[in-house]
Amino acid sequence: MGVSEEIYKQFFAKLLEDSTFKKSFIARLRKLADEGQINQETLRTLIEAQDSNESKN
Amino acid sequence: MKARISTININAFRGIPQLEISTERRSLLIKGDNGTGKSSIIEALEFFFTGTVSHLEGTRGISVARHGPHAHYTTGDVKIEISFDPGDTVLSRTMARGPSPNKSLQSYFHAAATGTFVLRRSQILKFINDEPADRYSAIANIIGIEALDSVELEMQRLRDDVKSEVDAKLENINDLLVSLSESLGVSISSFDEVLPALNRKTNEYGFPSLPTLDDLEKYNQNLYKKIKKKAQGLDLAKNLEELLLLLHPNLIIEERLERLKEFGAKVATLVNSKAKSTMKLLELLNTGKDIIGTDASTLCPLCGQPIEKDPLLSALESRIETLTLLSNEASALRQDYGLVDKDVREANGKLDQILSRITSQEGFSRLAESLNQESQFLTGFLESLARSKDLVEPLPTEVFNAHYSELTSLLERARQQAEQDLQQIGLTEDEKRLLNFTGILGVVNEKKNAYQSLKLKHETKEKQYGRAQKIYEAFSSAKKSEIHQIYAAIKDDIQIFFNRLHPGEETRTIQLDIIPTRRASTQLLVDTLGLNQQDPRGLESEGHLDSLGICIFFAFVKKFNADIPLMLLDDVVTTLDSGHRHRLAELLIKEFSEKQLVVTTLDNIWYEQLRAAERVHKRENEFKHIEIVGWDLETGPRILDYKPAWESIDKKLNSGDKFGAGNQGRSYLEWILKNLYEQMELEVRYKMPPLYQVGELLPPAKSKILKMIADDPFEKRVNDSFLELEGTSMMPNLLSHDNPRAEELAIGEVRIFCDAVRNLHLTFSCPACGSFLRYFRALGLIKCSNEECEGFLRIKVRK
Repeated sequence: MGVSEEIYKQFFAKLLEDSTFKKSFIARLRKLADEGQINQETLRTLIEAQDSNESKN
Repeated sequence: MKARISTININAFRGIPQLEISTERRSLLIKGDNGTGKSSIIEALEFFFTGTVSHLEGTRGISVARHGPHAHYTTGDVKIEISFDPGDTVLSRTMARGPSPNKSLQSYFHAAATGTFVLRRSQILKFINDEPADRYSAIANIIGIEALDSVELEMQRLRDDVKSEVDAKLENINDLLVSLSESLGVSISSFDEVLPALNRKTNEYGFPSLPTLDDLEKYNQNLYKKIKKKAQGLDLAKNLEELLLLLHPNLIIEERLERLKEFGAKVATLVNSKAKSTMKLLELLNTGKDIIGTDASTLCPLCGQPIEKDPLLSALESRIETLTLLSNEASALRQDYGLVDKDVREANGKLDQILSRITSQEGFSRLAESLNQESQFLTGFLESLARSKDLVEPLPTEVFNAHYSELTSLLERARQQAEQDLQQIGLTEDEKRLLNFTGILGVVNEKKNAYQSLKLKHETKEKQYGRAQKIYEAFSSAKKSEIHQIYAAIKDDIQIFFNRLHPGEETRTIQLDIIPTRRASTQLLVDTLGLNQQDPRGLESEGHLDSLGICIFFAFVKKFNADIPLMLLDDVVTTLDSGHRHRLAELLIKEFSEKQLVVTTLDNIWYEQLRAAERVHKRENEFKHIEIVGWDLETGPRILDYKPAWESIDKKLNSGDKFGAGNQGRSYLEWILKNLYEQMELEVRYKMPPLYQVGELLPPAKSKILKMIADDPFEKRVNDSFLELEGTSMMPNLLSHDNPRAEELAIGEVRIFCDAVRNLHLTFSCPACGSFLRYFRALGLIKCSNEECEGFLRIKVRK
């Protein structure tokens, strides 16, 4: 496994341990990472979307 | 059997128009002077496996897409084709599409895409000589995690921005409580205290208490209607009262103006230090440019390596910018930005409210016009604030102060006029008192609504900040932890390799670790000469530093890249002395015997030492040796003994690539002439460099060979072959200045030239096996050079 992959693996493992983050949120973040699309804007959209989903639920 | 590269075919990439290298599974040892295209071969291999060239990425203005294609070709012409053995698998990469390896090659490609297999001298220099942040950057480049740095930076910036938004919302809430305290005449520290305070006020005015704040708006409307029945001009008076309430406090309170001033001063300091660093670096570069400029050389006067000035400057600027933005000061500035942005935004919002009331008020039109201009200034100033946060430019604080002073004066004039107008309406004292009360109720109601909305937004932002912070910390700590493990894992190998390169020298203990308190920093320390934890730059020679860098790379390769049967070393030994080069050659040949190596060098001694190490370890059959004897933009690297494949030339002719076909045809002719002189033992007069060109060698070759041959049919064939070649349209160019200028010719003319070259080769090839013919002096004849060939061709030679 490459170093980048190992770092992402550890990163997502840490997030999964944290109940603040829903699995669907982590799945979307993982998709962004796979596509090389993690930046301020995409992260902000993702974080704000979780709020909007929570308020709907 | 492990997969190995058997052929490398490079088209239109970097300094190579077209080049085919047949490795036959062997390692490649490439020797050539600076600027002869050695690095282009390494870059082509890296591009083939990874889709990028690491040192062309991450620098503003430089990219593989822009700088990958050869100067005479377009992106669409780029193609790197590699054959693998066993399996005779041929894969290619273009700018648009990568290779699709079959199952047996998938692990090779996966390892190459994610691991490290290229080392350049620039990386070693960067690693050893730079500051911890740059050293980390070099390692990140070697282990392929540079992209993760920008991901981490993006996460950090989002966290800073959201934190700044949280702080701004909290301050908004506190401002509301202060404003409510002023309106109600008592100090209020939480919103729960508003209703009791308001009821005390209603009781003072002789009205009943309110059960909740929810009914406040209705309560106020009813009260206002009651007063309005009795009083004339109450609507106008109400508007003026509300205007006066807005005009009463300063748009921005004194301490926040001070905060804005401090923010501007911080921006100025950071922008200034950035500019100073840039100036120093520019000075340095300009000095270098002056030195190089005298002989128009593109080589560094210090190390002799090829340099490109513009990309270098761009790289430095980018580095300054990244480091400045990464600094703690810049991070703190981003967090402060939210508060000052809020202050100016609020002021502008209040100004809009004032303007909307003034516009409907008689006698205020000129004031409204002036205030409108100031509002436009504030809108523009908000944009300046955003730019200054990113250190694009300093904040124009003095201009702001001048406008703010003018604005304060305009507001004071508006206040005086409003008071005067209110006086003229002539309300009774009781009416004024009641109107004042409904005004207070209106303000409280407005603040209540604003508070509830802000409270909700603040809570949401707090949650978002918590998540942004956790994401950043999780990523940052995962990265630090992984890199720490990497360093721990390779420490022993670094030490072993270093001791092998420097036997019998002072013992050194090498330590490599991340700096935990900093983002993206790595410290390199040695215990040596009785001193502990020393920066090696202070104690070691340049050669020792270079070999330390090489050992670190070898340790990385050994630990992390066992699955990649390929290792590329691009000019890595410039400063090592002969003894250390010898040991490095030994280390490379012995330690990495499983790998297919591609080693480039400009150093003849190191080249010979590597060849000696091959012989000592009986591995000379595992290496192919290439000497590059020249380079120009049209033909690319000129390799000694290089013969382009006829199939490749034919393919280019068929596709209309007259430029590529012409260049290859010329290389083919060079190869034929070299063989003719060698195999026919034609004497050539010694000539000082530069090397002989095609046009200089062809006529004497023809004349000497024709004088040798005593066989009429063969003599005629030789004569015809030379005549056919001399009659082609390309020959005058070759004869005059060694430049085919194929762009001026039609494809048909280039084909005639290439066919003539091929025919010349066929004339001097054995009809039975295709080997070049050779002059056997003792036998007095010309025949096939292949001792195992059973062909019967024998050509008599004159005595």
